[in-house]
This record gives sequence, C-alpha cells and structure tokens, in this order.
Amino acid sequence: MSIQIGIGFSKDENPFRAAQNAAIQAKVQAQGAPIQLVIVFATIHYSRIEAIRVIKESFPEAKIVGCSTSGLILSKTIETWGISVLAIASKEIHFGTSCVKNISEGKISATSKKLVKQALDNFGLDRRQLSLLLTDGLSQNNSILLKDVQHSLGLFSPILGAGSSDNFQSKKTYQFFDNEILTDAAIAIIMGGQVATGFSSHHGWKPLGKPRIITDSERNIIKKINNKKAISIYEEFFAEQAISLFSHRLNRMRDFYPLGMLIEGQEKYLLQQVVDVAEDGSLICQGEVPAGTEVHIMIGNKDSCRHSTLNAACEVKESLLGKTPDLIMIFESASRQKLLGRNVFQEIQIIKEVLGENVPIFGMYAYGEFAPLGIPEKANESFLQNETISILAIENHKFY
Amino acid sequence: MLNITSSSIDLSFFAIVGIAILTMIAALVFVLIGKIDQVKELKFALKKLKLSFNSLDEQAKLILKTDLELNRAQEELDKRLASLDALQRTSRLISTTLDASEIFRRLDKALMLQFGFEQILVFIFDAEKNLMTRVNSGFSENATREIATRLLIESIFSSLFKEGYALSSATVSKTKKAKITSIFGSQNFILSPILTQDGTIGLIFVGNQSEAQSMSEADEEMISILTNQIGQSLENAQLFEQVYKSRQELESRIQERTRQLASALEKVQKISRTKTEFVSAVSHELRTPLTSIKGYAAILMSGKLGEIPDKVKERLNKINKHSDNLVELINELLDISRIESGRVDMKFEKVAIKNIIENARDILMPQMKEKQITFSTEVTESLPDIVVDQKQIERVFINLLSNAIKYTENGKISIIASHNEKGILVEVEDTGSGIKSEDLPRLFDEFYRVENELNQNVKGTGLGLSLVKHIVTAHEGEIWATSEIEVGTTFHFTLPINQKKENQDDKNNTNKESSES
Repeated sequence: MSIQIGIGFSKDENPFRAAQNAAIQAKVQAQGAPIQLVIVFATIHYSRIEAIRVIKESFPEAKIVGCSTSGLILSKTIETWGISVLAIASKEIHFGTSCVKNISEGKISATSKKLVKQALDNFGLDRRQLSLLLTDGLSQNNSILLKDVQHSLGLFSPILGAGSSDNFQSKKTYQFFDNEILTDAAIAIIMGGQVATGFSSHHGWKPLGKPRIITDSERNIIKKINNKKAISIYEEFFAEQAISLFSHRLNRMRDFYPLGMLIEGQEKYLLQQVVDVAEDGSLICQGEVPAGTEVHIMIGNKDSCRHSTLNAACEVKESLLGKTPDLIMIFESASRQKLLGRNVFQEIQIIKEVLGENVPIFGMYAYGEFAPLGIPEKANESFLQNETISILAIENHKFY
Repeated sequence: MLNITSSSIDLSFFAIVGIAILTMIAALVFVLIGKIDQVKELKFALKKLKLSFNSLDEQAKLILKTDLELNRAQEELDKRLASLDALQRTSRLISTTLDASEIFRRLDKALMLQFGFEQILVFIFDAEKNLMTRVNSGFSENATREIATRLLIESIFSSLFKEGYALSSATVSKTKKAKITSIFGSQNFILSPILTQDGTIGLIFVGNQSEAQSMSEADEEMISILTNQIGQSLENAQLFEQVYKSRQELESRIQERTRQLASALEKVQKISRTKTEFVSAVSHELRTPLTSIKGYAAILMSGKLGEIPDKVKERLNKINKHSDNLVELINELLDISRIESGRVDMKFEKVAIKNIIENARDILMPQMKEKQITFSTEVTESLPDIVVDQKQIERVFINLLSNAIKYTENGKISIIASHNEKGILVEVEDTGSGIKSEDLPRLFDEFYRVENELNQNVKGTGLGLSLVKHIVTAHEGEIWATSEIEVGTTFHFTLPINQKKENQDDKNNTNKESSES
C-alpha cells in the first residue's frame, strides 16, 4: 500500500502527556513512514500550546494542522475529552497548507486570497483533488471566506471542512497550525496527486409549515421574513416561548429547529442555525442568508439523523465505485452530537457497515460544516451548512 | 340597375358583417362569462390553498410543540442516564481503594472525564479546622486560598457546614448565586459537604463557566450522592489506616514481647538445667555418705561390734528409718532430674495396661487391707496394648495409689481405664479427705504439700506427684486432678497408645548419648 495512515488518541489528564501519547500511537500505526500531513483535533481542555508543540516535535518534517472540537470521532469511540492525531504518509498524495489570522478583521477577500495563494504555493503544481478548510467556528465571516476561497480555487475542486468548536461554550475556539495555537484564524489544506476522493453531506431535516420568504437581509442576518420581523417565524410556532428557548442553556431552537433555505439550482435544503436573536428581532445565522430565498422551519430527530448518515455513506461508496477507502474523515455538526446523545456512536456504526469495518475513521464535531449541497458530479459549490454530517473518503488511487 | 345592384350588395355585406360582429360579441360574452367563472374558481382554489397552508402551519405548530416536549424529555433522560453512569463508574473507582490520596486522585480524574466539570475543588478540614485543598482543577493556588478563607467566613456557607445541605446554581436565590459566582467565578456550580459519621469533614465544589453546561436539581442530587460515597470511602480509608497502624503496632509489640519471653525462657531453661545438674550432683554426693551411715548403723545394730543397749538400738532404728526416707527423697530427686534432663533410660515396649494396674495393686494390697480400703478396677475390654516404659508407668500407679491410700480411711479406691481421643484415659479415684480447689493447681509442683491436719501426721517428700507428672509428660501424656472436700480425689492421666516414632528415636538417642557420656 502506498498510503500509510496512523491515528492516535489519548485522554490522559495532562494535555502534554496526552498529545505525546497520541502522537506516538499515530507514528507507530504509520509504521515509521515519513509523515507528510498531521491533522490534530482536540477538545477544548486539550487545546494547549504544549500539546501542539510536542506533536510538532514528534513530526518535525510534517505539515501540522487542526482545530479544537466538541468531540472526537474515531473508529471505536466518540470522546468529549481528549486529543486525536492523524498522520498521513504517501509518496503519491501531496498536500499544501496555509494559515491566515484575524479573519474577523479587515477585508475578507484579501484574507482569502492570501490563504489560497499560500496554500497553492505550498502545494506546488500537481493535480488538485480537494481542499479542506478549518476556520474559527465562532467567526461570522466564515460563509464569505468560504465563498472567496472557492472563487479563488475554482469550482472544479470541492471544498470540505468545518468551523472549530469549544464543547458548547461558544466562547473561544482554537486552530492549530505548525507549532502555533491560534484563534480567529483559518487554515487551508489542498490535497492532490494520485488520490481518489468520495464525499457526501446530508442533514435529514424536513421542512415544516408553509414556505416563507426572506424579504430583508444583510449577509448572515435575516431582518425580515414575509415583511415581518424575522423572529416572527419562530414566534408563530412557539409563541412567547421563542425568545426564552433561544436564551435557554441548551439553545434548543438553534440545535433542534434550524432554518432551511432552498437555494436556486440546488436540490436540498441548506440548513442555517440561528445563533443569536438581535434586539430588533433579527435572526443572526452562521452563513449567508440572501433576500428572496424561500425559508422554512426544519424538524429532525435521531432517526432522520441516522438515515441521513446512511444516505451520505452510500453516496460516498457510490462515488468511490464501491472500493474500500484508506481513510474516512468526518465533519459533523456539534448539534447532531447533542441531539443523538447516548446514541451518537450509532452513526459511526452505520458508516462502518457501508464503507468497511476496518477503515480508519477520524473526525470532529463542528460549529458549521463546509460541503457541497448536491452530489459531486452535479455541483461542487460548497456552502457553510449546519446540522449536517459530511463524510470524506480518501483512497490512494493509481491513474493509468 | 348597376347602382341598385351595388347598393343591394352593400346592404347584404353590412348585414353579414353586422351578424358576424354580433356573433363575435355574443361569443366574447360567453367566453367572458366562462373566464369570470374560472377566475371565481381560481380564487376559490387559492383561498383553499391558503387555508391548507394555514392549516399546515397549525399542524406544524402542534408537531413542533410535541417535538419540543419530547426533545426536552429525551434530553433530561439522556442527561440523567449519563450522570447515573458517571456516578456508578466514579463510585466504583473511589470505593476500590483504601488510600485517601488515591481516592482524591481518582476523584479528580472522574469528575473531569466522567461528569465533564471544568472546575473542581475538594477541601478537607485539618486538625485545626482549616480547609486544606486536596483536589484542584481550574483554579490558581492564590484563588484556592482565597476561596478557602471565604468559605469559612461567609455566612451563606453556614448551612453547608452546619446542616450538611448542598448549594447549587439551580436552587439558590439570585443573591446567593451572585455571591457564590463572585467567589468561584462560575455561573453554574454545586457545592456539597462531604459527610461522615463524625459530621462534615470537607466539601466539594464543581463548576462550569459555560451557560450551556448549567446545573440542574438532578445534578445537585447526583453530586450529593457522590459526596456521601466520598465520605464513606474516606472513612473506610481512615479506618483501614487506623487498623493498619494498630496492627503494625501490635505486631511490633508481639515481636518485642516474644523476644522478651524467649530471653526469659532461655534464662529459665538455663536456671532449670543448672538446678537439675545441681540436684543431681548434690543427690549423688549425699547418697554415698548416706550409704555409709546406713551401713554403719546396720553394723552397730547387728551387734557385731558388741551388744548395744535397747535405747541405743531404738535410736539406731530411727537413724536407719530416717536414712531410708532420705534415700527415697534423693532417689526421687534423682529420677526427676533425670527425666527433666532426658537422661532417664526409657525402655518402651508394648504392654497391657491391665497388667501394670495388677502389678501395682499387688504391691500395695497389704497397705490397703491394713486400712480396710476396698479396691476395684474397671478396664475397658477392647483397650489396646500401649507402648510405654512399663517400670515407669508402674511407678505412676504406685505413687498415685500410695497417695490415695495415705489420705483414705475405710474408703474405696478404684482405677478406671478407658478410651479417649488422645489414647487411653486412666482415673485413680479415692474417697479420701479431698483437696481444696485452690491447692489443685500447685499439686504437681516439686516439694509442694497441701497444708492440712492429715499432712502434719503423714510424712512425705512432696516429690511423688511431681515425679508422676514428669513420667506422664515424658510419655506425651497429660495429668490433672479433680477433688471435693470430704468426697474424694480423682487423678486423671492420659497416655498415647503409640509413642511418636521420632520422639522414641530422639529419646533413645538422648539416652544413648547420655549413657555414652
């Protein structure tokens, strides 16, 4: 096999020791092959500079990227405490990485151009397959950043990825690049060479009630729906409970009843969580919410979540022409983690049943997922979505 | 004509056009009427559609409300189950160690990993009633010291220590919550006392800064259960430590005492050996002149050196008799010292106990007759032969019977031999004067004689029973006495049926060595 994958995990209470243990495990599993790319996901408690530095020391030649998360997805477990390390070694697959800081400040277009340019310079001239984008999940510029990055990279190579999360604290998330730990940053990874990828993204939520139209909006803020203040869409359904449910400790509205938008030219509803409600009743979303878009309140449950996971896994298998992948990466909404509760691992079991019991799985729970809405052949345009599971399967593919 | 024709044509043309226009108008009217109906129908359909949309919304409202309730219930259930699981795991973790430091270490890890608390503090009171930090996650040392001080002085915490009630952000008043938040820096917290049978020994604080991880009453209950478990585990650890320390102390005392006793035993053994050697040496030295005294007395009494007056003869008889007593005393002393030192020449052989009893009876029968004592024996028929030194065991019977005869007048003496778990049990029973219970423990001591009127008249060395005990013990047997004043005394002794081979060998070797030396 010309791709070596190593995955390590530890939840030793000491973050330094945990990172060291995870790095050693990944190194051992990769059988000492020269590692090109290391992806690190860590829960908020393990997102420490000493942890990142010890990983860099363990893989001095590798490109290190990663971010904080609300939960670590692995083949055998899902953990809400700990640090996981993915090490990839392959002579045929190439990676280009870059990082930009302060994405909430200055011009987004300049930031995204810088991010893409650095990543392309770092990648070289090989055939591009796919790009990953890891950003600060609390930034309100992620949707525009994604759009600009996509514009710079072109639509022929899709973008997947996620916004970093912080165990539902919504205070501060971290991005890891090389031996640095950052916040309010974005990281791009361009992947290419002899690699075949299959990906799919599903949510499983269904629209409820009559359609409404966003009549006034600005970037990620919905000001009016059907010419009434935006919160009225929730007030009509939940009456006076609406505001209290948004301020409730679990923010049930955000997690359980997102807004679904029908984007022109797309077949599926794009889900947008309402992360906050402004004093004037405007709804603040994570992604862009263009005026004139049809909008619904969406509903889902554990069963629809599991069903969407099965759909995504089957589509991935189809796009790989039934081949078993070498690695599965998962970017999943932290809200789904909350919704599924104790049954959260069932999704991983479904993925394993479809894509192979022994395929290494490495993933994270995010505040916002980047993925195309449709199936790969039809559309590569990626969107910032919520409540989704995005599955990316990587296979070291020989081109003859 | 042509004009008439052309005007007729014009008229008919206009008529046709008029008819056509009228027809068209009529058709248009019909179409218009039809369209108006259609518009009406469409309007009706639109109205129905709007109604359907509205009823869709109404249905959606119902679905959402039900869904919301279900989600709430599910969420609470999930949380409860997760907490119960965490509680069960943590309880198991802390109850499987008896080391207090290990309990705190495991607790720290469990509260962080199982329950997911971001801030953890465990304080335990020291002997001076100061709060000492045992677990600290998420606080600086300075902050911990400040918190410990505030906990002791702020009145809001009094219920915690005095009444053992927990405080949590879910149940306290807003004012209290604000106060506690200002001290710990957490919006969401639970403070619970650690209780043991002796009262509050400390407290636990767990907190989350994030509003998303706020505490519920269920969390408070869970932490209260956990703190009770911690209290029990710490109590167990403390008890174990006390027991362990006591055991260590006891063990060292036993070792010390054993050392002292061993040293004392060595001294006693040394003294005993010296005594035995001394008695043996002195007895030997005494026997030679005694033999001379007896010999000279006998010569004088025989009259070979000339006739002696009766008064002198009488005195010589007394010398002879006292010399005999002295010889008997010396012989018994010598026998005891020989048995004690293992130098007695034991000849083990298989004999029937019945024969030994008969021999002893034969020897002592005249004395019994003289004192009109009835003698009886009762030997169990199936009693097997025993391996003993016949001569020595005969001495045991003779001594015990002589003793019984001494203290019995017109009474009865009986010997009963039967089986017991140690071999055979022999009982020599008399109906004599009996022995006071306080004298019984010293009965077998050397030179011990019971102080009573009879003993003042009956002579004895005080060595007979001691010798008996030595012989029985040398045969791996046991001897004891029971008695009742004016009813009689019974001496009981046991003898094993077979002597242990190694004992026999040892004894034979000892005998051999001593005889060689």
